[in-house]
Amino acid sequence: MPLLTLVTFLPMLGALLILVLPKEKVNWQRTAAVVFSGLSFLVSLQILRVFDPATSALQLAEKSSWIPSFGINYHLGVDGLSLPLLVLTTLLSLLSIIASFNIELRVKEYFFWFLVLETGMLGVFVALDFFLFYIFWEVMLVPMYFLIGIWGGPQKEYAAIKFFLYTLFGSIFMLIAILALYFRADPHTFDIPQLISQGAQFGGRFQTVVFLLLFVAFAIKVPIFPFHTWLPLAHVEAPTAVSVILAGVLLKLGTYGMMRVSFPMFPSAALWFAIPLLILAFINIVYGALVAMAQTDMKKMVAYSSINHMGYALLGMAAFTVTGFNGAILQMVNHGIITGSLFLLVGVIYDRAHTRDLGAFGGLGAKLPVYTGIMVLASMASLGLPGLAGFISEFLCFLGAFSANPEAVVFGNTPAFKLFTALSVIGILVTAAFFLRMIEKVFLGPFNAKWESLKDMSPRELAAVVPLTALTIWIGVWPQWLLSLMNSTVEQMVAFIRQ
Amino acid sequence: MIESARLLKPEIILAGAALALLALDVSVGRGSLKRWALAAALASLAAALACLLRFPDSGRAFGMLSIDEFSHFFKLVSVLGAGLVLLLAEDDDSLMGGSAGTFAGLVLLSTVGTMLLASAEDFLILFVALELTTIPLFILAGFLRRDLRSNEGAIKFFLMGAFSTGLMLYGISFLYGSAGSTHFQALASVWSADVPANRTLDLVGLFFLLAGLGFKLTLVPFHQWVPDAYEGAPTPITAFFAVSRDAGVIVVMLRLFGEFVPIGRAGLTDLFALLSVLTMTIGNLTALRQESLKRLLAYSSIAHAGTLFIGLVAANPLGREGVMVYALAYTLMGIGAFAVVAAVARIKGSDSLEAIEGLAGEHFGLAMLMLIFLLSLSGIPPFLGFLGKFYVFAAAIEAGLGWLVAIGLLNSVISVYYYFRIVHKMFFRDSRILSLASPANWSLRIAAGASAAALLIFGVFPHRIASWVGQASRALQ
Repeated sequence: MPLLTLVTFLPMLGALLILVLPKEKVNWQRTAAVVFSGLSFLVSLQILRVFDPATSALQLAEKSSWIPSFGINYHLGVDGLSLPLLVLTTLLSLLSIIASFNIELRVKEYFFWFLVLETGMLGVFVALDFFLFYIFWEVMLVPMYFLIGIWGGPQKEYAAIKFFLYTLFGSIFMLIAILALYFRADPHTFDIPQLISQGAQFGGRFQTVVFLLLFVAFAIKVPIFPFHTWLPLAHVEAPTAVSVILAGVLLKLGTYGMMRVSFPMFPSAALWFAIPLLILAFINIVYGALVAMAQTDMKKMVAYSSINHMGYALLGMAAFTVTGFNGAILQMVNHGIITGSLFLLVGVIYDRAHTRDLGAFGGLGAKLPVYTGIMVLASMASLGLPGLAGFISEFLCFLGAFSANPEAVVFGNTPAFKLFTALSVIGILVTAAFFLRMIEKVFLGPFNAKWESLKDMSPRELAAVVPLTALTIWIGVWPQWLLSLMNSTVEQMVAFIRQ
Repeated sequence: MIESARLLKPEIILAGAALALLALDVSVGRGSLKRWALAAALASLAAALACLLRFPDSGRAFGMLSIDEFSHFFKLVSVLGAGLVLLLAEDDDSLMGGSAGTFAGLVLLSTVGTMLLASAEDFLILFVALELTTIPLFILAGFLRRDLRSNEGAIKFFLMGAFSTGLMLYGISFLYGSAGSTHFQALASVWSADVPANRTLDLVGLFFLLAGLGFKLTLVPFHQWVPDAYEGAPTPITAFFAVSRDAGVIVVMLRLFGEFVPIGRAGLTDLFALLSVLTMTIGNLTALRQESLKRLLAYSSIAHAGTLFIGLVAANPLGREGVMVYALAYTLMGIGAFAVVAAVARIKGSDSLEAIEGLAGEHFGLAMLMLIFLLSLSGIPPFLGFLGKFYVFAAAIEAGLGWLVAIGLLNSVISVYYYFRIVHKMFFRDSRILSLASPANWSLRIAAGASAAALLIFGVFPHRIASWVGQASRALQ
């Protein structure tokens, strides 16, 4: 059974079905969306079950010729790097679709685009042919444009086109890099594993140039400072469920691309770039945290905290050690879970109060005990409280970076990794500060009588958030089950890059 | 003689049908002619298509026309384009009302010209075929006799066209004087001669020739006639303009510069690259500001001509294949986009950008079709338009023209901005103009639907197309 094809194209099948359903039957469309994304989730669980974590090889591979004249194959496969992100994607998509049941406007189109988007994201994570990878990468953009532009907030139309053009601009660099690689490889190929095994024969200059081209394409997605300017607008204007997908999955595509393609394919360029990457990670961490601190809109605050959190993942990646890489992948997953639930929760309060202003609330803790409990837990996880998921991955990222390559020095004789890792701790402090301030302003203090009629979370909202909350606790208590999935892949990858 | 005629069977069928249709129009009373004219024209196109598909002959006709797989491909594209245009026009009273025979006949004649161009390897036949393509277009551009815009477009088009033809003839006379023959082969011997001869005469000749061809291909700076002619003509004819020149002139250039005058050796690579960059950039930047759908698509078609030209600049087999894929894709998506514009103009009575507002709310299917065409025009996968761009860019990278690819891709992003202005109007806005009529008739739906389906299917499963063009491009050396 071609499980990977199945998991990727089930949502697309659902999208096509929704397209032919009658427009008035909104409940049919909702059901179809849940069923098909649910099926896709179940298939991903099956993949998790049959996956062998002991080997670093690409598993469940599917390969058939697609465009023979260019040697392009339909080549899919998963390993410890892509599998956690694959399952994260199917889970977040399913939960976001459940959270989207309150969408009343143009329901049919909404779920159509949502499912197309899911296929695009899953495709990127399983594609092992660079051409195919690029196709899926581009296929994601159009649904996102519509999802932000039709169902978003006040500035949705501007946000949609800005997001679209910005990412399309990034794709230029990727396409040039892909074509350059194809013609440089001997024999010509788009196959990612083959290109990786040929990586050594790419000359130094070529390697650096292509690495940088790909870096720009991926950095826009992460986003890495200074390519982050699309993010706040898109995240804030997007409807709740789409913000979840944007933060939870789309940002990971950038870091995933670097680890899947750039690092193993251009090892010497990657190692050469470790220090710049480290500094960019530091900027992301501190800058993201400080800007988040300055926000009064809860959604904007969470959006900027994403820049900070992706900075931790970059920090782990810059280390080029097993600990750092493990931490980075775990951080990607955790950020998806935690920030996903934060966006959902901000959406819950916005749906009721129609404001996200920090100053507008107060004392909600007594009025909405369930909501408060979940929100506080998610915030704590996000600021890195031990015992919750975020702490483990942030700790691993810091540990990895701190102990990385002691020979690298900056400013005379200061060990670069120790210096910037230490400075990055500022980010943790600031993150803690703004989350605690939010908790204080919204949930503690005197009750604002204006919100007398506010109701606690509905069962549907709980169904969307509670699985994420449970995962937050589970990974925090027992991270080993996730780490063991990725460990052998990471070990092999680090050994390959460092050889 | 008989052999040559046999090779040109598709052209002969179409030319015969065209002449019969023209004659019919003057001899028979108006009345019920309309339906028969269209049916007859479509039947002759089908017959030509069958000829091309069933009996892919190859050989030389009259010593001036090379019939090979390469020309076959473009002939198929021309026939396909003409068929789609006729389907589009079925419901247009201005075209099909009074003189349906004339209209259909002219479209067929122009198509014959394009088909001959695809085979031309002699300057005489090049000239005749080019005139045969263009002169019916002059008339078609001014087909709305009582419409000022149509007249203006036609006059501009005619004057520019006549001028550029003169330039081209002048250039051909230089080339003839230098080579002693009108056959392309004679040029090849001039350029391949090892003695470093004085080639001023040949270069001057090539420049003038290029000016003439550049006019037809709407390369900047020979493009000024395009927007007015496109806007003034009835929409189906505009669609015909957009596709007929791709499949015609670029083929001659591929043949001439691919097989006989290597552009690298003639030192023309930089000039050609510059033309391509100018055409893409100016076409796109001007398209950004248009408020009329037809003008917007007109400028975008100029930009596409520039991108297509990259395949020629690359001067390698992959570039040729790219031009073939791109020409096929552009025929489908160009006609498709104009088909939707025609439908919108019918519903709303206007072809301004405002008219397409709220299309998704009122006619969701039509809006989705337009979305497919626009995505394909933008070069977003998985549609065939992306594959065309991919091919020409790959060819340019192979030829070491990375900077040209970078400019081409940047232009793609610019073009996305104005294509998505249309998407934005269709999906994010509500209609402000009252609908006048019901949505499009069956033939337009067939044409647009089939084009969209082909763009998607060939975009997702391109291996047939890829192997076909790969084989066909080998017909040239």
